[in-house]
Amino acid sequence: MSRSKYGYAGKILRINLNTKKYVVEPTSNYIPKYLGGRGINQWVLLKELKPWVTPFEPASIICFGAGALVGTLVPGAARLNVDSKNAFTTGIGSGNAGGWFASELKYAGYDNIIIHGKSKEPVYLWIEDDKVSIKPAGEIWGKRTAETEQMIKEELGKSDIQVLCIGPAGENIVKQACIVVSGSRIVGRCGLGAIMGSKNLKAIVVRGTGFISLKHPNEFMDLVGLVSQRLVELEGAKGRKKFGTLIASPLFNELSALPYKNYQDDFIPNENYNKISHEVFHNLYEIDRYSCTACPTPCAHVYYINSGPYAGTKCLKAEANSVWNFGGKLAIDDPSAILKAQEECCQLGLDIDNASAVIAWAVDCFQEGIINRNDTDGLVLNWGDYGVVLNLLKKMTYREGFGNILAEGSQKASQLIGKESEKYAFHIKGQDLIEAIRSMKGWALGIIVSPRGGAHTRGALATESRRYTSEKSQELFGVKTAGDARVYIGKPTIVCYFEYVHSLLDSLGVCFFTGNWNTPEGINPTELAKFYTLATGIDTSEVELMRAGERIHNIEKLFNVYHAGFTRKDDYPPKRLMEEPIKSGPLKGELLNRKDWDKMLDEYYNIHRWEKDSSWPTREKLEELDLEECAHVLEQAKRLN
Amino acid sequence: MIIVENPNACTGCSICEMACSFHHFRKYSKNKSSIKVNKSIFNKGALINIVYKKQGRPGCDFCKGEKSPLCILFCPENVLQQRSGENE
Repeated sequence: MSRSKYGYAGKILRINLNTKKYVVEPTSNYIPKYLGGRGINQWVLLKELKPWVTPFEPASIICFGAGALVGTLVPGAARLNVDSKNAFTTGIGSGNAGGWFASELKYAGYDNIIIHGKSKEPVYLWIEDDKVSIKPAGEIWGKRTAETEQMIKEELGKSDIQVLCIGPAGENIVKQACIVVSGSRIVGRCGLGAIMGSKNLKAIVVRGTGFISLKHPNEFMDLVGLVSQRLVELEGAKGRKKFGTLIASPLFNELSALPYKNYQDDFIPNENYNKISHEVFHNLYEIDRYSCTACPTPCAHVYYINSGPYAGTKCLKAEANSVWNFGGKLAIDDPSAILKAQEECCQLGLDIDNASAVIAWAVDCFQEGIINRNDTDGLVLNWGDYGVVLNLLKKMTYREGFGNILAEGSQKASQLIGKESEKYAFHIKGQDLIEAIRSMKGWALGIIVSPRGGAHTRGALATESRRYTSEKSQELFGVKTAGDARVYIGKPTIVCYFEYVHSLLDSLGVCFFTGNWNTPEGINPTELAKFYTLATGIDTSEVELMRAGERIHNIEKLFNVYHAGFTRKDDYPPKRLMEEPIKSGPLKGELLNRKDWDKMLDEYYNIHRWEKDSSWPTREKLEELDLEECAHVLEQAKRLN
Repeated sequence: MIIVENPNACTGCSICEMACSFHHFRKYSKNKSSIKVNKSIFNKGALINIVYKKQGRPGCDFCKGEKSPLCILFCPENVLQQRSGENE
């Protein structure tokens, strides 16, 4: 196996919270086969985490990985991937965030951190280059995230450190708990903040003063210059720079692809949408912007509310998700309330997606008379009532009363409530669905088959909302339908392509907005291969790199087979979205047709060469990907299931 | 000298710091750089400090040997500019 001291930091830190000891192992044990970041994290989990260990047990493992290109000037190479067992699904739990933490970790000398065990008392991890210590966190336990970061800086007497932490939600093992990175960047879904909380790990803090070396520095920097120049000129980049990811909201609403009132519809009525458009946030609230490490096309904006009930609130980030979650699913049409809810989630350490989804389920159930004030601690749940939403966010965080049920997610909550409340719980493999999926078929396929239990950060296409032409589609993917939302044909090919691309981006640590997910002019796998070779000295090509991406996607899939036993039946959309069409908007009438879905799945599994009935990777596929040592996973899964 | 022309436009991407370390060492670092950016998400704008004499960090030599100063070349927000001055 090729080894490299270039590009990578070179070391992996393993912490045992039971014994408070740590060991360091060389990253070269894992490269180039698993690339870095997510690839290394998920391989470690597949090899070392036993399927009978539940997510919150001390024996569970959580891994943090800065990608292979992080710490360099590759545009958008700032990403940290976090992986563990999924708190909702028991399959793979995986999340990714930008910020400044990942590059700092590499400058400190580490590519990945692997956390084993559970501390008896609250602690945080402090890494200062070679010095690693586990420090008591009793004083900061219970604190909100910004206060946590501030207190750590004061305690250490340092301001130039990077912090990732959990809020009270993670401490209380709320399944919607996220990890807050660099104050505002979020490792959102899969309950990863709750996993940290279950280990009594409040934060990881890092200061790195070292270098990342390059095998071919001058050629590498020349390529950085060329690619950066191209990226800053793209229309999409200019739009994100001005409006953030909020710029995507109108594109989605114009395709009936924003969830409204818990999927009663997939279109926010124009009179409501106009109150919460990207221009409104930009014109009325934006006061500043900032960027992740090494990103020339920033999407992060700071907002300030200067009047009304939330006057004085500073919101450190708002996303397209903020609009579709709070504005769409919960029908809040006051932009300041959306910003307040977003910021409250950040401070409590709640993922806005999963938190808003379960509240939408509760409001729907209340409106249908399935639950009433006796269930909700006296609260009346109405669409658009943001005061109640803020109250429920707190109740969830502290597992108070009805919040204790919400903190389990809509699948489990609906099982606890019963009375047909399951009908209103939209989830995939047990984790709440967050996107509208009836209009765009490739978007839907990528989300539903995603091993992390939904989410558009695997194979889901951006080509439909960006309306790629048939010529462009043919040129890029060999099929003509990439830009046509309503068409099923051809979509599995593109979903598989982006599954591999996302595996690469997450493992190399590159943002998918600077990658080629959002636009074909983004950094493509050919360029990623050049960057990788010039940085590390390890020869690779687009074909080899895409094969590594396929390998990493298969590892993620194998984890699900091994740990959750998911099969084909888990790759279908919620039943109501296959039966009830969209009621309004430009793509009114669309739904997900079961027969067409079946055909898409057949084709999707065929392209992966996974077995059609079970959906599991075949032994031949594993051999082709040099994963034959994982064949026992399939055998054992058969016995366990 | 290198002038911080427009600190309010700085987004804190650290590209100038990393480009600077690249000039000095042909490696990337945020710390081993003549330029130090302090950007907080809690405050608008940034404090940008450039050292011209070695003091724990390498001193700015206006990217001697490069085609032009790399911090200016790579800054995506045109925060920095080169001007004639006493340090040059």
